[in-house]
Amino acid sequence: MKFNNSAGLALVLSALFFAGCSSTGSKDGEGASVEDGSGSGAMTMGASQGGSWSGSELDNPNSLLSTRTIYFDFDQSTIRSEFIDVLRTHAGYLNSNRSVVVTVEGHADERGSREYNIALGERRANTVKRFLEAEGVDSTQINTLSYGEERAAAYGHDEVSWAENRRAVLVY
Amino acid sequence: MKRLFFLVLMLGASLQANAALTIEITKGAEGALPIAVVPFAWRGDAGRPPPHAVGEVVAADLKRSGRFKPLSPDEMLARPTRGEEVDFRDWRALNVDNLVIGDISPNGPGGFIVKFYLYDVFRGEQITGYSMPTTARDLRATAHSIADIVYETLTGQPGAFATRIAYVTSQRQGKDQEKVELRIADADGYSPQTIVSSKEPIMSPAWSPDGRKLAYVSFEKAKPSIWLQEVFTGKREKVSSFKGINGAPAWSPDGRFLALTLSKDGNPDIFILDVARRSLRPLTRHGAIDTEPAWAPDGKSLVFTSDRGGSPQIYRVSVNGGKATRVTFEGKYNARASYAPDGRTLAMVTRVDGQYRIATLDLETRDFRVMSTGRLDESPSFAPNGSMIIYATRVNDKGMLAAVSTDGRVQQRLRIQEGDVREPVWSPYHQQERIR
Amino acid sequence: MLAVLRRNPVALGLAILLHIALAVFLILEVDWRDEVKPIGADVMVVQATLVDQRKLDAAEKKKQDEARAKAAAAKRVEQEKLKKRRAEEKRKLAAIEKKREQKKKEETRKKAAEEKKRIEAEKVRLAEIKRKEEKKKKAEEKKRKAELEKKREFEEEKRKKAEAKAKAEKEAEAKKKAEAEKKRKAEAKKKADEERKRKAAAKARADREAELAAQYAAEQDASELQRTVALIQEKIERNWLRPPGTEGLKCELTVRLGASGSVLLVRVVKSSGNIAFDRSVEAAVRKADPLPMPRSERLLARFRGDVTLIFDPSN
Repeated sequence: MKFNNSAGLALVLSALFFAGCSSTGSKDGEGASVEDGSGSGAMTMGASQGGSWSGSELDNPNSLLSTRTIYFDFDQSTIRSEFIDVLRTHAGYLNSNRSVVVTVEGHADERGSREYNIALGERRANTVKRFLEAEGVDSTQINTLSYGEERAAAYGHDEVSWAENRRAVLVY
Repeated sequence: MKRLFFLVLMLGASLQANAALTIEITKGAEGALPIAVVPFAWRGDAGRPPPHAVGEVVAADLKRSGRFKPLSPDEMLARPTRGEEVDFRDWRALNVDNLVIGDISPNGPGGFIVKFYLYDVFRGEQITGYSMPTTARDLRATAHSIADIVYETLTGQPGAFATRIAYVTSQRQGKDQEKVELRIADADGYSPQTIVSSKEPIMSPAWSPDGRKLAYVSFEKAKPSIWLQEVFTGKREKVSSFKGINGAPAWSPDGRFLALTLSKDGNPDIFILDVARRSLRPLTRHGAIDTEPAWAPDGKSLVFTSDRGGSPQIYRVSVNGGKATRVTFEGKYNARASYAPDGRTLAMVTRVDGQYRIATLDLETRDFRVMSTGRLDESPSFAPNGSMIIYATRVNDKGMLAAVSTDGRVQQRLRIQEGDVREPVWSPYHQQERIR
Repeated sequence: MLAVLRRNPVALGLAILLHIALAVFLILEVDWRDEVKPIGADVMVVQATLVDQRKLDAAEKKKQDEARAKAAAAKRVEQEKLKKRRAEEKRKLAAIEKKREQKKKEETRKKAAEEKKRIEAEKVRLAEIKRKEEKKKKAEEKKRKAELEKKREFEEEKRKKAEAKAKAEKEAEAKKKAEAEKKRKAEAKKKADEERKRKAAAKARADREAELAAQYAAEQDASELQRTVALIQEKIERNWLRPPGTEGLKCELTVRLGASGSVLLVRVVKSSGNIAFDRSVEAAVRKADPLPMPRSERLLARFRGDVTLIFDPSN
């Protein structure tokens, strides 16, 4: 979901105007999208890139929010530790934007029967959903949809492709 | 194998006695019956032959069943097309047990009459013969009917050649774009017709017992729902669109109910839908995944896939619900069971050494047999005469359909089309009309 | 009022005194009453009636009588009791006596019985002894008789022997004569016998040879039969294409063969119940046409009759 920022143009101009000033990359409070400091701390990008991000935080390529895909181990629906921060970031975003709804798509690799894989995909989506809820996100903001093996991301028939397909995707 | 010669002489010491001589035969070769199907003659205008080579279709059907070994036309010593042209010596010499000859004559515009005769070569006599009026459109179906008659006359079991299959195809069109279709074709894969086309996934087609409807799962509008579509008219209606999963529709043997998988109550469980009344009742209630229900032919119980034991296995439950009992105990992964028409055997997907294969389980003897040899086989479905199982496999990165005879002896691949083909399901016998 | 009181001081004084006295009496609880004496305590009042002396006596007597009677009764009772007791004792004594009597009787009886037994035993013993003596006597008698007999026989024997000897000598003479005669005859017979035997032997040999020949022929037949059957089995089995999934089925055919083994007729006699199996079995026979036949005439006849083929792949 994108925030239609009608003042965007003005901001850009003002950014250019202030281009000379040094900046540590911390966000300025302009732009209606994101507010600071809601607990998790990942909101505020300590990214070393110069320049601030204006526009919807969802589109910020430096934000963890840009990571929309969580991968899973074979036959597992538990969140791997390396994705916890990502999910926390998403939780924070959702908590700060109570009207935003995200759909968590669950997927499975192609092995085994198709309907069982639909159920597996749903299990993964639900795991992500529960995680977000545990982080305070309201359940009305989260939809789940399982595609099982029907929407592959990788089309090979080997471990690499299968690993890529075992995923949950957050779709805004 | 030892040769057991068991000689019974009804004689005393003297050679005078006139007792009957009895000889026991204890060994024979097991194998497909040699048969010759002579290419049918065309009695009409040579410039406008009929659209299908009926003899070839018959021979291919018989071969696919695994019970027959048709002689290649190259090896035939003669090509009779009329009764009086048949000289049995030509066929005895080739050790062919049965002979089929026939011809096609024009019968009005777009019409034909197909005649065929079946002979017992070693008895030297005709067994049966038919004359069948048909049309260009139905010529292939007529050929399949001939194959059915030959099959049933010689084996005593009904053939399943004049039946149809439904399956899902998909073609990738650019990145993240896919064209998915639900199709119906003859049991040999010919004459496919599309009945649903979509950009979203279609899954789990299921024939109604009268062969007139297909139930399937469609993800149109970005959520899975279950639809019932009339095969002949194309009319369809949505019967299940609850929150969460709507999947794995399975018709009861009397066609009045659909078992399906719904996760609206928190996790995937099996429910039974009264199709006419649209009322729903739960069949399983368990925190694990319960899905892929299949009805026993007597309608009194269902089998389904459940991972309540830790990994997917097949369980059985009474149609009235209650405790489910586990059915499969071989290996750690058994799913997607489907019943043979006699209710005695289940086909399923099983995992063996990391490969996903089709296996059959005899519910009485508990014999568990792996039937296929692929790595990613799935979706087994029995022919309505129980003689073959059709399933999906992958060959060289392509999804294809394959068939195996239930005794495991003959394997075949069905060449259908480009793109991926999957989820085949065999129609019941009642398919009379052809769809428009 | 006070004026009245002052006018009557005496009255007043009396009143006051009276009241004081009353108070004193009340306080002292003087009892005014006299002691009450019981009336008539020391006065005897006799209520007498005239008494008849006689009656008195009678009454007295009665009383005495009664007392006496009572005493008598009591005595009687006492006596009764005593009597009873005595009787009881007597009875007891009698009983004891009786018992003693009985015992005595018993003992005498026993004694008598024992005496009797002893006498009997003695009798038996004596009888036994007697018997034994008799037996011995008899045996001795027998022995004596036997010895006499033996002696007599011996004498007899001797006499007989002498007679016999005489007889024998006479006979020997005669025999010798007869011998000579017999010998002569025997010689002749022997010759004839030998002739006959030779003939018989020859015949026997001939017979045995014939028998052996027949046996040999039978064996030949049996082995040829076996061989032919084996050939037939092999040829049919070679040509039998059994339909898959028909293990355990069984079918019986009748076949009629021509002289050269050609299959003239095939008929299913006992179906397996499976069309494909039955067909395959018939086809096998037809494909094996012509079937191998035996060479011997005799055997051929057996193969020309109806041959039964049982297809039973019971491996």
